[in-house]
Amino acid sequence: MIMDFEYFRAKSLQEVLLMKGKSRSEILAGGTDLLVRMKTGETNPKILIDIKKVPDLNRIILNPDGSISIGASVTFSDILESDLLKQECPILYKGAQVMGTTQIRNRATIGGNICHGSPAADSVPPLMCLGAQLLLINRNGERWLPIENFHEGPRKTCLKPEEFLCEIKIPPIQPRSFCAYLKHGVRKSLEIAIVSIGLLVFFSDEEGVIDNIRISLGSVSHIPVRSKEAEDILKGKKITKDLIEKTALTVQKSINPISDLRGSAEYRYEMAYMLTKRVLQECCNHV
Amino acid sequence: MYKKLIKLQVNSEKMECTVRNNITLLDLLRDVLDLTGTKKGCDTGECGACTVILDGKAVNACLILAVDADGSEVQTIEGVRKMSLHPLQISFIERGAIQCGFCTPGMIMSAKALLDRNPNPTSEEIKTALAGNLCRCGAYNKILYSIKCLTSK
Amino acid sequence: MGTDEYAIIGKNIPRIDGLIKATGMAKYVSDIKLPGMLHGKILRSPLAHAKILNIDTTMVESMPGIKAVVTAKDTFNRTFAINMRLANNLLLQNEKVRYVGDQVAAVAAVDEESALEALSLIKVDYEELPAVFDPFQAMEPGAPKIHREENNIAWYISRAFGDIEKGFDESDIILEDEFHSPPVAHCCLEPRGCVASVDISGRLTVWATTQTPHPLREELSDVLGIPMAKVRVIQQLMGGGFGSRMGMDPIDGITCLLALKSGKPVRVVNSRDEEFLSSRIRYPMWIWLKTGIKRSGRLHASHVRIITDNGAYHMEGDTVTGSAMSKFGELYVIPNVNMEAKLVYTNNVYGGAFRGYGSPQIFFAVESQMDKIAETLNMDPAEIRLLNAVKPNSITASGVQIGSCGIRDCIHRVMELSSWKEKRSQKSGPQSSVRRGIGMASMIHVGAGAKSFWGENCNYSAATVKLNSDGTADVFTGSAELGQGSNTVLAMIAAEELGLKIEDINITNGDTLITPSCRGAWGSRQTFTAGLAVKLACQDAKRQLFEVASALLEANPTDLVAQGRIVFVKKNPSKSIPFAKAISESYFNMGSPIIGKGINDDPWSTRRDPKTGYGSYASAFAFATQVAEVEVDMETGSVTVLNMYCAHDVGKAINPLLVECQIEGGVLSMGIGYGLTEKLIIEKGEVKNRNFSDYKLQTMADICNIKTVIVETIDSRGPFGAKGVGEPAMIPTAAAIANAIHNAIGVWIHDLPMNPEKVLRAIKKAQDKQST
Repeated sequence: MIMDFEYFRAKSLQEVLLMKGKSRSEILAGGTDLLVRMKTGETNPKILIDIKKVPDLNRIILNPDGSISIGASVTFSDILESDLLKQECPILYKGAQVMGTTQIRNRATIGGNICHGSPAADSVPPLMCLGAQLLLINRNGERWLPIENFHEGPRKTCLKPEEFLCEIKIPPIQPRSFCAYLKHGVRKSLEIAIVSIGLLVFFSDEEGVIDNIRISLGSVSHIPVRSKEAEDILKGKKITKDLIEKTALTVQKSINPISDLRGSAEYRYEMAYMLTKRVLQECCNHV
Repeated sequence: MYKKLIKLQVNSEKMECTVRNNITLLDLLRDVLDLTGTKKGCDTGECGACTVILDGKAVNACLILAVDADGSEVQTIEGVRKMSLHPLQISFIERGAIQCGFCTPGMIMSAKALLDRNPNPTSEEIKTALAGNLCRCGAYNKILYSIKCLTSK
Repeated sequence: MGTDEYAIIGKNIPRIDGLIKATGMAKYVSDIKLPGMLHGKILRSPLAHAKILNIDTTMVESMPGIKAVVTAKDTFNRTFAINMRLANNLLLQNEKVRYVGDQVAAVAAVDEESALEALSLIKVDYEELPAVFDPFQAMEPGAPKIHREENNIAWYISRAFGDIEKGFDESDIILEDEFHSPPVAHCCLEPRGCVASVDISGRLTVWATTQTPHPLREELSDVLGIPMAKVRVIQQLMGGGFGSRMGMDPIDGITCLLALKSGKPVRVVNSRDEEFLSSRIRYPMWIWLKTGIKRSGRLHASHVRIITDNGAYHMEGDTVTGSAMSKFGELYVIPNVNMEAKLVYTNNVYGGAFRGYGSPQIFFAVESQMDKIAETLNMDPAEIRLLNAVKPNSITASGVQIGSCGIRDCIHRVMELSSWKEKRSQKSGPQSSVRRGIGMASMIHVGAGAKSFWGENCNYSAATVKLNSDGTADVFTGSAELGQGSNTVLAMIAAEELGLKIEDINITNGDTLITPSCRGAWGSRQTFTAGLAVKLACQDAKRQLFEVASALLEANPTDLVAQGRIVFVKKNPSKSIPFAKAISESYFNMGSPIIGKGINDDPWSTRRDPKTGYGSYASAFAFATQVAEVEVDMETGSVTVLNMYCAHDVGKAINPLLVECQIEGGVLSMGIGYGLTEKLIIEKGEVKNRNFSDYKLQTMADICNIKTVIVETIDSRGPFGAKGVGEPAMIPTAAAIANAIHNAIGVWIHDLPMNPEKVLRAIKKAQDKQST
């Protein structure tokens, strides 16, 4: 049963920040996570701040410098309908495709997905691969934070009570890139990943040589992880069978999965290894 | 007890009502407006039995607060039939897409939301659109077929 | 077969309740609103095993908005179950709680919010007791005693036919295998619910999600101490049944208690969380098969041993287990058969009837082993089945009479449909990381209910029909429409028998006040048993009509035929009278309405002998063979079902479209789910995966291609030759998939579900074994 609360529909960011300062207030974006938590009694906000009518928060903009700004209340369906994102950030598009269900995607927002803090969130590994920066604002100012510094634990982020995530900025994407996002589960919809992996590779001018590479995994630790040690193996190199093996083993060492309803830690170790090999092989085939 | 006066359109009918903040759109439809065609299968947005079309998009009514629907247009299963049955309804009835019927309203709403935007979806697009609607009777194949018959692909 | 033999039978008529379901007009229990209706909620035990020392409801009783609170004190403490001999469940527990979710108290309030708040204020003092969650541990000396039985053994049975020792001695090969079937949830999309209302004279009306309205009336009357004449049960349209709503559920009795105590209508509906936590499940089973085979491939001896985890309370564990253990010797000819089973109490959520009634569990075991036998003898899996399958008009070693039997036809036709021979000979490369396989599984199951419950001879269905003066007909049947389409099938049978059109028939079912009794929807029996009752009732009405018409047409009643809304002389069709005119003649000129009565008391089957187990307990059996084509990812263990091919012997498809719907439906959700993804994860007696994200039902995105063929053997007893198909639809699916997996990767998996982690472990184990 949902407990009583005050409902406030914000018309501006100032209003959002004003209300956020009040105690036991929570942001209502899509509500697909929040309402479930309110029904189970897991959370009991006194004030809900509906941000959906705040202008700018639901926009996807290509900035003059080539970066892309995504407002926090952009929904997963908005992501799938954006030609810009499909073309420039296909890895985010791929993550959005496998998230939830159509009904959920029509409401769930990228900001909500990030702030909910699930290690299995489908937007986070792609955003980590893209090197996304988060704009956190409060009444006195703002700060930019790389997304990989945002999550602290399952359902725990470093967002302060008076702060609000209002924008996700993706740096300009280099040309000559390859991306993949694999979500391993038991069925093809309504699925929370057993293990997920995002891969983004930028190639140098020299054929097949990797200039920069990012590997990010979900559901393998208390937060989504970027496997920097594994990335270093392939930086400046061409993909070979041996390097794929070495990278996959290194990824395996960099994670710390638990056993839960969806799978055992042992299986997650194996799948992290397997999925790393697969995305790298896909990249290799692409070259 | 917090309440709000909301204005919304339900099945082309404009209406105003004062609702408690803590009820969902699903509760509003079923308990206040007596539109019981939309079903409650799980109340947590996982089964799709409560699917309605909100501002042109298929959503789980159980995950939307009634107050959040203020200013919106809602289509429910009761509004699908106008002067005569919608082709989706006829197709479902004639092609065996209905068994116990509990998932049927949600399935039809998801299908309608799809066809309203894309009258000729592929089988994959139909499956994606309806992948959030569970059917324990397993009528998936006939449901897919019923929708496919209405397209020209 | 004569497709034009009948006017309506055999046609794909759209179901008659499609319109209300497609327009949102269909009313289910949770849609019912009565003036002044209260909302009820049940307080459930958080502990798996505990003494109830005290229940303090004083805080709640004085709360405004709370109109009734009930505990065991408000009941007669009468136990209930389909099989009363072992009954030990109560509507509300008085001494002990025995599983997490057990019902302890209930409240009725002006709204759901108040009811839930009230529950949190009821103080229950428990003394926690040691609990046991594993049937093997439960049987050990010193295990916590859940009821009164020693070693928690609720029931033990042992049966022998032929000479098992000799049988094994004479066998050339003996195989022994162990199988395990997990706890699985029905997941009806509509959660359980009930509405009850009592009027000023004490008459109780109950709108229930029930598969057995007439038996429920009996049970409510008994448990509440109210005469049956004052209890009316209305089977409301249901969002699924699948066995979960067979017999009374505590929610039914509790809703009545709240209505009786408050004097107001009450509605109680489970949340989805409650459905997962506390509803009956598919009985988990451990199955051992020791099978002796002759070198020719002939099965010669079989020892079947089953241990069933009953859970906390008795429901139907004995009949489900008994039904399962005899199936091997009913599908295949086996001269020497031993069976033994134990039903064991644990502090887990308890089992109940679930589509297939033990057959999915046993055929997963049997059909997996049949493939192993085939492999051992280097025979094609189809060959071994064709060699051993029972024949039509034969009797098994345990006395089961097989009448119509299309198993061989099923096997041949599904082989053709699936291009079996060609695909079986293909092999994925040994280095391939994705391997394809094809496998088959067969089954036998009752197609007409069975004489297993309630008394010595109880598998009847009754119907009445009123012919209206305008030529339409009202048919009353005690049967239950769960969504399987039984009302449509019964209307078709009535229309065919009376020579009317389907739109002339008005079917009323499942209201105990106005319909004659039927034992309900289970055992795939509605088409057969209720169909025969309706047919008999229409024949009776027709006889009366022909008496009247014969006078008008100056013909012998035996020379008359009713077809196309006309009654005419068979040999001289120009001598005719409109159906309506003949009835009007009866009503208005002869002063007599026409009312037909039909009672199908199942004269063919008998209960099995209580000492020997010998006997033919069902009047018709359905057969089927399914083939699964799968792809196995060797690196992740993921299994994708690419194609399912199904051949089902249904006697006669009254409505081929509805038959196909049942088969497809059974396969695509329950069958494949049971095989690959579904399992209730229970830890210390508590169900942990209590939502649809964590309990993995198949979605639209997961479906495979499916093709079906209907095999018609025209059963000599069934209405127009029909037998049931509801349960058979999902019985062999898991086994077909298991056999296909083996064909793909050479690994036997004997434990369900075959999820990716399990399959991968089995692959690695086999690879390790190979390398050592």
